[in-house]
Amino acid sequence: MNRPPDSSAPLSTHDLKLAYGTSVIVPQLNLSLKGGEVTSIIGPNGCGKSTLLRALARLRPVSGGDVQLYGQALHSLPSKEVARRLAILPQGPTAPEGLSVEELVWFGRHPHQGRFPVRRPQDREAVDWALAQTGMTIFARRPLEALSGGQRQRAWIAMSLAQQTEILLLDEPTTYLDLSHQLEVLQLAQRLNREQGKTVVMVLHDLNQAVRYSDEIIAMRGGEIYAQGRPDEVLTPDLLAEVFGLKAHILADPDTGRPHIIPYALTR
Amino acid sequence: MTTPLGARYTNARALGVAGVLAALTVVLAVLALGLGAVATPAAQVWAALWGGGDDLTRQLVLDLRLPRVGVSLLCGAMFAASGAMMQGVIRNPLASPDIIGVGAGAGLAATVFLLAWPAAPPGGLPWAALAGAWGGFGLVLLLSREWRGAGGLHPVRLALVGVAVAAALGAVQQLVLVRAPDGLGSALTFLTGTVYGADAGRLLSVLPWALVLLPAALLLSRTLDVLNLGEDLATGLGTRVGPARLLSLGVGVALAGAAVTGAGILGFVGLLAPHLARLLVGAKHGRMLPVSMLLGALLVLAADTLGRALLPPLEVPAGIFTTLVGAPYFLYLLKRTA
Amino acid sequence: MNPRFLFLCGLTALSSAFGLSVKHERGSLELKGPAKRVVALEYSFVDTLLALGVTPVGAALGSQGGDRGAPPYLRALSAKIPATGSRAQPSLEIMLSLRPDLILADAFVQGEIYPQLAKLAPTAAFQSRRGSLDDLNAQTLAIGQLVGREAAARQLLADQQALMRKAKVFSKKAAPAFVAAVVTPKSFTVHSNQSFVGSFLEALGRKNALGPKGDQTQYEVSLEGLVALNPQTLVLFAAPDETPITQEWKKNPLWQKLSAVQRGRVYVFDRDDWTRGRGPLALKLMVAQAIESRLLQDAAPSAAFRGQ
Repeated sequence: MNRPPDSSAPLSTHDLKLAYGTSVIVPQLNLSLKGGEVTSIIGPNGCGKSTLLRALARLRPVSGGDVQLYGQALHSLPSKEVARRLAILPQGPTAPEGLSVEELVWFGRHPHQGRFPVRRPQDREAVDWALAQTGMTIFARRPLEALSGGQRQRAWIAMSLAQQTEILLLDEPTTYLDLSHQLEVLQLAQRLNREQGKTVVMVLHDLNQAVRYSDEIIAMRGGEIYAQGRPDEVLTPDLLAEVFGLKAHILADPDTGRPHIIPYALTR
Repeated sequence: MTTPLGARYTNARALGVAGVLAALTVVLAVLALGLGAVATPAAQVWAALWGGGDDLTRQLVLDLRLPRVGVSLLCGAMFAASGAMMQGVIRNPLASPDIIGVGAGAGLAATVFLLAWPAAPPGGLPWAALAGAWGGFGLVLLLSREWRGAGGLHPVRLALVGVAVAAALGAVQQLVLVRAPDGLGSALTFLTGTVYGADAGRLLSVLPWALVLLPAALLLSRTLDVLNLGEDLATGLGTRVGPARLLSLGVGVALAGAAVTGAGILGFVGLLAPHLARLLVGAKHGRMLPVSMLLGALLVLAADTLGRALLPPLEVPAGIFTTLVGAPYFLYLLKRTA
Repeated sequence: MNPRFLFLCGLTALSSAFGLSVKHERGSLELKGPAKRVVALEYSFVDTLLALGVTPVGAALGSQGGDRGAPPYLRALSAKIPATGSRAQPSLEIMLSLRPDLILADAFVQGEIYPQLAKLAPTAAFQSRRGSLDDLNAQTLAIGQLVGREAAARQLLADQQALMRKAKVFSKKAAPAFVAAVVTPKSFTVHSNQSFVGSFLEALGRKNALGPKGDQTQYEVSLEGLVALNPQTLVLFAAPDETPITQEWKKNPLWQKLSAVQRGRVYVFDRDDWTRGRGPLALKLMVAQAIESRLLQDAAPSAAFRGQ
């Protein structure tokens, strides 16, 4: 199946196949992401959602088909150019000991700099802006180890922001954070989308958080897209049963009117 | 618990540390020029440095000690830089030139060279060791490369294969040595790591390597920093991880290989110096690499000076001292990481 | 003043007038006159120089690493010679300060530092460590030429020949072949008829049971291997300060079955004197001990050569 490249979609995949050796994770996937929206990929463990996100960010090789960035094959673009248009924050990033927040954020300028680390005024501005956006300006000189989990995650996001890309991919950005820090990170993602017009794609575990902070939901099962659309269209009792094996009450969130899921039993 | 509010490791601090180390190195170098099996009064040494002094002192200081000090400094710095780069690429604090097949390859090549070609012209041994260093590294690379898929260079696999290859090459060397005639053992003192016999010629053969490779290492420091964030983040920041690792490793092996031609296999310098540097100025390579080079230079110079001055006229190979300090530290690191 | 001495003086004068040229392993050495201040970096060179009546100004007599210092017979003779450190890494500084006009080096052990040595003083390299009896005799002559005592060297060699001829008379005709081995706490290394001591004992008229194995003139043998050889005579070279591996083997019934043990023909010599000296003085001592031990006669060893 060959479709013409979709140059309006920030990211799209065409008959994408992802495999580890002989075990196929994603057999054949066609996807088109909407620009300027927050999209969350949900699904049970092992459904291939993180694998897909990593493939969208060229962090893993594809076994067939391709990923396109505004209609251009991702693998044909220079990696540095991709890094100027698409930032990814992988799961559980680690930094060498003793690095300060500001030093970490400077790494975000790497794709914009040449062989010699010349710090131009626009680099400085980008770093300051990223620190300000994430509320990390006052922590700029602190070593990463001295920060709380939420602050540290914000520092990493600041690094990704310093890349000044249109697209921001976050792989399970709330894992290992307590609830208030989880909301902090998700609100930041939403604000970046609303105020800066960034396209944000996240892999999330918490369904209610996904619903609340996303414009678009992609539900995956067994390496395939089960459903894609607005949260209230996608999150139906049928989907919860089919994809997650859950029986749940779905109420309307009094705040947002969006669905709120209260699981009460397993289907099997 | 108090959390530090400011950065622990700053450029200012690194500059301070580097300044102190550079001063220490100069002091020790001057001291080293005055120490040796033959006593030379300070005034005579000073005069010799400015072209005066008596004949013997001039020869002692300028022909014998000065090249030795120079070779010690350069080889120490190169071993340290090599270790720092390998630790950065492999992201393992235990990585060092020894672990990547370089030491074992050089050792085996030197042994076989001496046995197979006893009438070889002098000065051939270091070059055999250099070839062996690259051969050992090539073998490790060949065995640890994933030919399928992305053809990545996986750090853990690299380290494991490195250990296995080093053990295998070491065993072959033992096998060869068992059959070796009397005298080979002493000819192989070179392998313990020693600056003994370094003259102006040796200094001049090491110098070009150092002048090219040490700045190259510094130029790669940002690449090493990015690699140090891990494969995913490095890729995300637009680095082509495979080629970047290969380039950094290549420079690292070239550094170790060149250092081997100057001073044999100086054990543990490549492990010790980067570690101390990291403790002093943090893990950022822009600060850590220069400090680690200075520490390596200082370490080897101290070891060689001690070796010359401790039990004259006996020469204690510098490698014995660096190993004496390095081995316990290595065990401590192993225990801490385990 | 005897006439031979006058002749010798005349010869010395002759060679000084014309300068001298001696071939060695790294080419040939041109000296304007005979060397007076000599540094010797191998025990055989010290032995040869002393035998020629020249006291070296420095020698590698250190006992570092694998070096065990001068062999016992040479110890008193060399006590006053300044040490220049180990044989593998002799101190270049000390050598420089001794202002030598000749350095005698081993072509193998000091092969790598030959250029550095040659910068300090004219340096001749000889195969001492790996040399056979013939090689070492040739070196005696070459060293004699370098220090302007060629006649004395020729005399030494002639005396040695005569002595060995005399010793040969003691050798029992048709005595069974021997196995000679250096024993250390860890190894039993047989010396074939191509090795230095192995060929020396053959020159005295006893037959060596073993030839070289491939290109190896000396090689290790286990107790089982020794039992398979079952020599009628066993010649061991051990150091008095070590417990050789044969002490352990003696507890084994296999050892007791050896013909040499049952015949009581196990001779023990000092391994440093026999394998490390390798000069005219050492050879004189070795001939004397070969007779004194009653090895040549194939008689039971005298008390001093029975070992522990």
